Amino acid sequence: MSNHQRVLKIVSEVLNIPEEKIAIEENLTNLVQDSIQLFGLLIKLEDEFDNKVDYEEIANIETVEDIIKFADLKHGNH
Amino acid sequence: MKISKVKENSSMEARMLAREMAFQYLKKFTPDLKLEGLEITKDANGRPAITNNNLDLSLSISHTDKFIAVDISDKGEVGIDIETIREFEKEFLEKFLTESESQWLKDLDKEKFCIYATLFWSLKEAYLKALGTGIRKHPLKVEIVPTNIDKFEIRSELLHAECEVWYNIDTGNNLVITKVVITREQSSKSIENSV
Repeated sequence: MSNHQRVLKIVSEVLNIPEEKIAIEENLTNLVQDSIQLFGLLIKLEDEFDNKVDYEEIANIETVEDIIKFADLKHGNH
Repeated sequence: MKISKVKENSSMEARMLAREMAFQYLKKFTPDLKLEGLEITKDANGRPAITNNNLDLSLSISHTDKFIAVDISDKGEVGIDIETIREFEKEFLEKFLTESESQWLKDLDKEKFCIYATLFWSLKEAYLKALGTGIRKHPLKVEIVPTNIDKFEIRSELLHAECEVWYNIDTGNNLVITKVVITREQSSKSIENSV
């Protein structure tokens, strides 16, 4: 599974949004209901990438698209 | 602090309503202030800011799907948070509670556990909002320390200073509301002021 697919899958599961409806250019703060949901997303992403993606680095990222790019950079594009 | 109950809203609508409320509260806070030309924007850290250099006021906004809270402070940097009392999953709790916080919570009955776990989250978030980072800094870097019955202090590696802590548990509305003020002197001591 590519980083793109993995990130979309997690975002979809945590935020309860079908993958095809996730606007990857949208700011994360507009996609989440509240900060608890945002934190839940960030810690899931951190776990998914075996902690190679640091919480505070990823928490400063604004869009889903940027998370995918960041995951590619940190974890390799596969 | 001003808290209003609203019709159930989307996150986006709630934010717009919160901004309206902030303007109303600002007018109450400084009656002579002319609102024309004033805007509520976000600073570099994403914290709401009032665009008027003459105003030395700090603004904080929080909302749930049914409630919106706004506060303004002239004493220092304010952070507020309003949360629906909830039952967290164990894995989630482990990610934001320190060991000593978990120890303090572990003997509570289920109802109180939910209330105080939500309160701990909320105090951490209010603190991080006052600091200007929000949860872009990890909540584990903030520790809630019970000092007396129903009294808590906040300690953090991010800022070695005392702060004012206030909270309210509103079981009728299933809410906790928290407020942290870091005075201007203290906030300038922040060791990680910008992120």
